[in-house]
Amino acid sequence: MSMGLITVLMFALLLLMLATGLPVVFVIGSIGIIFSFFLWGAGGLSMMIYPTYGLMNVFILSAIPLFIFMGLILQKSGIADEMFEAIYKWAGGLRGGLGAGTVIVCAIIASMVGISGAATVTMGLIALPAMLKRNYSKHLATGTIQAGGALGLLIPPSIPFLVYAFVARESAAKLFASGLLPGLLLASMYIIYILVRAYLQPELAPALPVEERVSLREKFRCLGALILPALIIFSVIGCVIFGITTIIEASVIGAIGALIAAATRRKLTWTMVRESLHKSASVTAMVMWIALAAVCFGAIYTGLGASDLVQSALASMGLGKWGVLIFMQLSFFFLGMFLDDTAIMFLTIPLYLPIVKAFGFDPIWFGTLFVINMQMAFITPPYGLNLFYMKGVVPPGISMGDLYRSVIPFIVIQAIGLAIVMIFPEIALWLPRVLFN
Amino acid sequence: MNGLRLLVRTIDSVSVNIGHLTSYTMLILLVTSSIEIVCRYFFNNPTTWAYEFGQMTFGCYFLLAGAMTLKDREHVGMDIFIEKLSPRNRAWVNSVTFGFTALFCIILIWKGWEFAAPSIQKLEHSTSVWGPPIYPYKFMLPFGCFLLFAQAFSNFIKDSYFALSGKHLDHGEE
Repeated sequence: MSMGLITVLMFALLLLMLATGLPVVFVIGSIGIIFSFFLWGAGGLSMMIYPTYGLMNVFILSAIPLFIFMGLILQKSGIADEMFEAIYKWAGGLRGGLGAGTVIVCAIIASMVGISGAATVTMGLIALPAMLKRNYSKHLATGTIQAGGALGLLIPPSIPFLVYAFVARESAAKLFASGLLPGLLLASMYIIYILVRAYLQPELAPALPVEERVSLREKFRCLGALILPALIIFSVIGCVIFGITTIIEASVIGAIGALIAAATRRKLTWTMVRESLHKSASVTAMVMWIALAAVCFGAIYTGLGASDLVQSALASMGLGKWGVLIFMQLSFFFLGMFLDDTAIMFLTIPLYLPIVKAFGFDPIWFGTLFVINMQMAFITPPYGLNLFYMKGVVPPGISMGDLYRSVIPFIVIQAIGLAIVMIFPEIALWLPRVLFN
Repeated sequence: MNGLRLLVRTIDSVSVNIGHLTSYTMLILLVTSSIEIVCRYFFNNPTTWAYEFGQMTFGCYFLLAGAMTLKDREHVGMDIFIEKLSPRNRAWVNSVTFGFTALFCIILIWKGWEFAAPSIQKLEHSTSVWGPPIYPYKFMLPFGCFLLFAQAFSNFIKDSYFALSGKHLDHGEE
């Protein structure tokens, strides 16, 4: 059988098995094993073990549970409610203000937690009822929360950047720095979209009635509660992107800071710590087992000579370097409809990165493009994780079809954002260059 | 039936207890990393052991917690199609795909054991200055896969029992 045919068969089987609902880790792992066995017999299977053991020795990834823990503790100590209350009081008087404010809170929460599911669920529980009660359109309200929640992938500290740093052997600190401005860019684009839409169609996102608005003094009073969490988040981001500490040390500082913040708010309980610990372990195990299976799969795929195949296939298409880059982004988007970001990263980045580097593109910039693209994957049907998280918390009147419709404008905005960062690489590369050179 | 129920309950509780126990090791990681930070930044004298210790703790952490995640069915999968099936047909599909899960786990247990066995035989130690024993760590790979397999098997029994009889094996659990 030719290499091309094997590749096609492999991906066909991959999609078929994903459709059965079998967890991604087992789909990838077992397909890798089956193909390896048919190609090389039992001997080929030993190839998987060394990269697997390599994955067990990646210290930098141990920041994953610490960041998740930090986010969960901050979230459970009720800061999301207070942040939203502050936004509500500050921006509620404006048409679409609540929606724009939700984007900001989502971005902050999602960046704390590093995984977007937590932000989507939290804001789905806090902001969604508030917006629906104020007669916001259900599509605008749910779309805002899902897109806002996905910003956590891009704004540091971010789990996908940590994993990319490992896969591409690049500096995680530089990657964190490169994600910050594109993240803020996307957040501002969402806010502008919501405000413009609300200005043109006030019935979609009405302002708060006058009697519900509060005095300026009241507005400032509610900011006080946010100082400590804000301090923690900014010190973690600062420690990393200014190169003061390593990422793991920053995550340790963040986790201890979150515990202190919760304690000073008298919200720290053993139950909360225990639950956060269990949840951190569970999420980390999920991410790492997918990574493990994808490493096995990748070992076999590379053993097949896939890098050469991909390189020659891309060269034979005659697309030029920008054409190839756009093709790669399309392939990320396509895979993002079916797979999760960790799996896509381990499957594609080792194949793509040599090509990208050969074209003279910056691998840090490429990583940022990848993560922007993965944000789209998080809200793109059929398999967008945020859609499922959202479905879990919406009131009965909102169907999956509504959610599918709600994300369309935001996917378009994300695609525009991706194009902007492609055309102007400086948006991603300026900050790391200023900070690290 | 009682035998099956006992087996399922035993596996589930082993997965959950090991997972919970493992999740506390993050606190150890927090403490050792803090010690390292203090030693390095305040005394300019980094420890010889914190890095390697952290590495091994994290390796054990995710390998041993995987079974708990599987018990809670929190490993992500694309369940949009299967969601549309009746609960019983869903259980059928899950029972059939167990074969792939088993294949993945068994091969990793086998190859992982081949990898760990020589290290255990010679009681291998790390070559670093600190030089901790490394054979228990290598053993964690097949062991973690074994826990994962056991939990997958328990889920398989629950699914196929439900698919065949239309009743849940263990009401307290589902």
